[in-house]
Amino acid sequence: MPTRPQPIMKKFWLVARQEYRNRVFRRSFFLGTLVVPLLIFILLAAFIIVAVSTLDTRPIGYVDHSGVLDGAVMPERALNGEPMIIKVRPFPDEESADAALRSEEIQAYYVFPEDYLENPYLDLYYLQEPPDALIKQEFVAYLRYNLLPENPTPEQERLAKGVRLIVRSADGSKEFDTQGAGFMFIILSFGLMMAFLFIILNGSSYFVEVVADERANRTMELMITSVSPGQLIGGKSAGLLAVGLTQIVIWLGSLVTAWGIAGVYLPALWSVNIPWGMLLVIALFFVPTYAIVAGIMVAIGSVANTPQEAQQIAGVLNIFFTLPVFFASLAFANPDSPLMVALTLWPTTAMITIIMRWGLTVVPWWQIALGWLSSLGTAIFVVWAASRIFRVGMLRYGQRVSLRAAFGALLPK
Amino acid sequence: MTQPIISVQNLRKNFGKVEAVRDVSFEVYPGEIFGMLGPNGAGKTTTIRILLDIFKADGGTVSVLGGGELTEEKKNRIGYLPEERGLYKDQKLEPVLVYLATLKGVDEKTARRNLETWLKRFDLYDHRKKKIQELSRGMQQKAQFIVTLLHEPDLIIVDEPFSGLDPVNTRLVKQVIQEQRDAGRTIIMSTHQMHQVEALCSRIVLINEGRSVLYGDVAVIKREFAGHEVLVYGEGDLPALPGVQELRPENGGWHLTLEADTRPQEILRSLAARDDFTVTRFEIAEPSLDDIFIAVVKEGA
Repeated sequence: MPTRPQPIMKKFWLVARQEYRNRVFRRSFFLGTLVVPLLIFILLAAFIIVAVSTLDTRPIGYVDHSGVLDGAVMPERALNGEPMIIKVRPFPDEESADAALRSEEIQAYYVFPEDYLENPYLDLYYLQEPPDALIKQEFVAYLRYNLLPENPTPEQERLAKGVRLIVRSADGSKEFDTQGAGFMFIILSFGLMMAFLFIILNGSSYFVEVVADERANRTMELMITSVSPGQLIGGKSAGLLAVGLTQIVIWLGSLVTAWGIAGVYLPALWSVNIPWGMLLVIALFFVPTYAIVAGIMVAIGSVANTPQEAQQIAGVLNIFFTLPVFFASLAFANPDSPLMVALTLWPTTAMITIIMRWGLTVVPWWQIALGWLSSLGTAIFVVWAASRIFRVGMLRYGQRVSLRAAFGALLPK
Repeated sequence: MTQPIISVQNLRKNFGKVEAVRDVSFEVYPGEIFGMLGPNGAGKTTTIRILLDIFKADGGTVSVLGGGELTEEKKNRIGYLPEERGLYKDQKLEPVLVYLATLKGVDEKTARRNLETWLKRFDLYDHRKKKIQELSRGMQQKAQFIVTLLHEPDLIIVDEPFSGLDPVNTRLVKQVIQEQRDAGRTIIMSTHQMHQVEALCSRIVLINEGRSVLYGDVAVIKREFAGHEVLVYGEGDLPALPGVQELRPENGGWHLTLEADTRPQEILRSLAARDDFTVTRFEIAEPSLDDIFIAVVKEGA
């Protein structure tokens, strides 16, 4: 049977496709991939249940000795723009309000002192638990609405909306808005950091298996006579990258869906802007970082005696990628500290550190550039070294390659 | 004159201080079954790996399928059965074999079609949906043999092809090898089973301690090593004869090993002159490849 000359990259993609199929159509992949969305939706369900079922929507009462709420009416919407979910009932005195409280007609009542306008403090009376913060906000909306005179000025309307604090970076590129996403952005950046860390650690586990499995199965000699080492390792790495991206797509889809549903109960979530700058940085750093992981793990798989031994060694070396997590509290306290800058420039921690710092500070462009260059240079060296070490260890079935032999492979002959 | 499909001249390969291959030379011609013999650690597998570009030679020249670099296209024309067998144990038989065939340039549809034929021939068809690790060792060996042939290579290199096979499957593999040769393919067979070499190979190279110490046509080699062994069949008790170094019964007759300065004709004349022994058959005994192998290796040692 004559075989036609194949395009050089075809074998690369054949290996990649096989590796992808072998990983994705496994029970362990389904379990590992679906666990995260399942957790997200369980948390979401718990959040909704807590938000909806435990909210006490009985009316709030008040006794107004100051007269500021004479002729008060119910506003149509609360401060968050949503329809009011409680009613507000005035009482002529504390006795009638107290009677209504004890008969559970109302959940709490406020008392306005006579000098409220000079001394704007209210007393709140309740039986066991104070009203939920959301309910208190509803009363505040009622109060502000009725404090405004007819045809209020823009300043008075602005006053009614309450304090809005905006903290902006000196270059204007970053902003924290108390009425906007605010802390959500920090949560997002840390969430992304943990997600990519998980992907890297997951990928490292797979990459170790790439070579270790071939050696354990004793298929290396057969494979090397069909494909070049570059096609074999490169193809398998591409397949594993596709596996990682499949997981990302599934998780992101779950997260976006859950985010959208949770936003119904917490509208602040919908005001989070997509951090395009951070996503661009991630896109720039992801490939060299992943290549560093791939190279190191392939080298480990090539020298270790068994797949189990390879995984143990990899577990120790993974510290070089997870280091930023151990300093997360320092990042909160001082995101521009020398240690944070050092971790930004170190190739194995650059991407994760930048993502972590992105939510807390403005990372200088020169640090991003240097971090990327160090990642790229390291990736090129590591991939080259891994291919040399791979050739030394590929046929040594059941044998451990000594460190001397491994480093010897890197020296010119 | 037919050009060799493989040409190896003064091949040399070191691993650190170890000289795995010192000086190996041979040629393999199209359409033959060529035997590569040698004791353990002689350098056979290293030589094969150099042919397949797994290792680079430190000296000498190697030409495979027309010389030059072993390109993707040339690799697709080679089928290799390594001594260290291995398939992906936790994957199913059929998809693994199809995958390995596609890496040799065969499209998936054709690979599946031809695989069905081979699976039925080797009695593995009913096991095609099983994982490799669920198959017996012999079945795995046969599966790997199928991998070697599935893409219909021009050059087949098999290292210990009969290892782990029962007599029935050994015969089947032998038949298949002969069929491949009859189809015009070239086979290099490395094995310790001398009787298989004698049965299948037209030419051989014997490698010992990294050097090719014997090379050429099997029949010619056997004749070269003959001359001091005779087989005698007759009636009566064989008497003691001068010039005979060793005498042992064999297959109803006697196998005589002569001294170096004794010619077979002298023995025949001595026997013919005797009244107490009637010669019914007298022939020059050709040594087995086994005997030649041992003699050469011992001499080398």
